[in-house]
Amino acid sequence: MRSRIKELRARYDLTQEDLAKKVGVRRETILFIEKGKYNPSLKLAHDIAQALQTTIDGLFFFDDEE
Amino acid sequence: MKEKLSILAGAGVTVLMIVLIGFFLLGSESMDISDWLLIIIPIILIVGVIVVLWDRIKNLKAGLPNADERAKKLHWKAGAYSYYATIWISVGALWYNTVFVDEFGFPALKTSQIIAVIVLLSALCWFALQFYFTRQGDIE
Repeated sequence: MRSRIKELRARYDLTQEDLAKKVGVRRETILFIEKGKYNPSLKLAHDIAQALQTTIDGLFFFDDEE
Repeated sequence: MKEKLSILAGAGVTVLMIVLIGFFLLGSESMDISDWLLIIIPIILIVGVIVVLWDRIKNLKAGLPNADERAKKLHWKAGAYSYYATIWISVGALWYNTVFVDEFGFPALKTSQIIAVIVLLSALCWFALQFYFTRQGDIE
C-alpha cells in the first residue's frame, strides 16, 4: 500500500513530527507509513486523512490501482 | 504526568540496581561463574532500561507519545516470539548436561547457573527482536 502523505505534508508545510503530534503517534510511524512499510489501522488512517484535509480514499492507494 | 512518573520509576529502579551491584562487588572477594552471571544479567537489563528511558525522554520532550499502535504491536510480537524462543532455550538447557557434558566434555553447570543462562538469553532475545522489528517498521 502506498500513500500521498509526503505530498500532502509538503502542501501544508508539515514535518513528519508535526503530523505525528497532530495524530498522536511516534514520528517513526509516520515515516514507515510514508515508505509503505507499515499499514495503519483504520482509525489512524482516518486521523491522518483528517489532519491532511482529505479522505482515506484520497490518501491511500494500492499499487494495482495506479 | 503518567509518562513522567513511569520515567522516574524506571530511573529509580535503575539507580537502585546499580547501587546493589556496587555493594555486591565490594562484598565479594573471589567470584565464580554464578557470581559473574549475577552481575552480567542486571547490567544487560540496566543498559536496556537506559535505552528505553532515553527514547521515552526524547519523545516526551518532543511532545510525542511513548507508545502508539505500531510500537505496541511490535512490543507484543517481540514478547511472543521471545516466549517461544525461551521454551526452545529451556528444552536445550535440559539436554545440556546429557549431550554437551557427557559426550563433548563441556563443563557441567549447576541448576542456578542454567536458570541464569535461560534468563539472560531470553532477555537478549527480547531486546534483539524488539530492535529488529522496530527497524523493519512492521511485521505481519
